[in-house]
Formats: sequence, C-alpha cells, structure tokens
Amino acid sequence: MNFKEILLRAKAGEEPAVIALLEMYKPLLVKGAIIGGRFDEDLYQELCITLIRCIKLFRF
Amino acid sequence: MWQKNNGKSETEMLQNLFTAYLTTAVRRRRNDYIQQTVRIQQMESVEDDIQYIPEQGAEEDMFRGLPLPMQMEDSALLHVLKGISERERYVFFARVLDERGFESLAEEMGLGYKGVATIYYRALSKIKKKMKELRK
Repeated sequence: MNFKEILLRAKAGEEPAVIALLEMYKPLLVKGAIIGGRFDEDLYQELCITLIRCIKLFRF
Repeated sequence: MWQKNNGKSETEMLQNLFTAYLTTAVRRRRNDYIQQTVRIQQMESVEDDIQYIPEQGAEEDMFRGLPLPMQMEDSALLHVLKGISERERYVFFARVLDERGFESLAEEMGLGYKGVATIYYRALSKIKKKMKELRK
C-alpha cells in the first residue's frame, strides 16, 4: 500500500490508516513536542490532534 | 519496508507535500502552545504583583477600583501592562481610569507637570508598540 492510498483511506476515516500515519509521523511529532530539552506530553497530544486535523484538511 | 524518497513518483511527491504541510502546522501549533504557557505564567505573576502593590491608602483604593486581572478579557493587554514599570502603570491607570489631571498627579508624586506627562506618554507609546508586536 503506497502513501497515497494510506492518506486517502485515512481521509475517509479508516482507523488503521490513521494509525499508520500517526506511527509514520511519530518521530516528527515527538521532535516538535520537545521544549527546552524536555518532552512535553500535553504538547505531544496537541500535535497528534494537529496531525489528524491535517489529514482532513490537506488538499491535493 | 523503508525506501528512499526521491520525490520522483506521484506518491512520493504527494508524501513530501503532506510532510511539508504537516511540518508547518506542527510548528504553528508549537509556537501557539509556547506562547500560551508563557502568558499563563505571566498572568499568574501579575496577580502576585498587584496584591503586593497596595502600600498607601490612595493607592490601595485605586487598585481596588480596578477590574481584576482575571476579569480582563484581553490577555495581551494584561501581558503588556505587566511589561511597563510600576510608576508608568500607576500614572497610566490614574489618568485613564480615575481621570485625574497631570497637575494633581504631579503634586502627589513630587514631579513637575512635564515629568508626569512624559511618563504618561512614554507608557502609552510603550503599550502601543508592544501591542503591535503581539498582534503580529
């Protein structure tokens, strides 16, 4: 399954596809959730929500 | 099943676009979050300050008449007011909220009319400048 398929499935609301994307982008989200050398769990949560919102809003 | 993304095929290009999109969104959310936490911390310390400020009767009355910081809707304004000096804040509040003239303030503070006016206008320009920065 290539990226486009995963993204389309995730957009359609298929949970496994959303989880696959979350796993795929976890390193990026974790990196973004570090403030002053410390991992901020609240921010990580917010960024996960951001990813899900991005999946919905992304147009191509 | 990891492959190098050369950005050549359609799906690879799409993935790169999505990653860029996500990166921007993550950066914005992160900046918002950091600013939020900073504001909350500053709001808490403003509250502490205001509780300690009342020393004289007149000042105490003045601060009691003020809206509580928590009731202020505009947290940006609160943040800015925290940034100016106590003297500037006093003159600013006395003139704006208590509608006192520069003469009476000058007499009270042992300054000239011009001195008080300078403090007031300096405070005003500082507030305007900082608000502009925050609004960006």
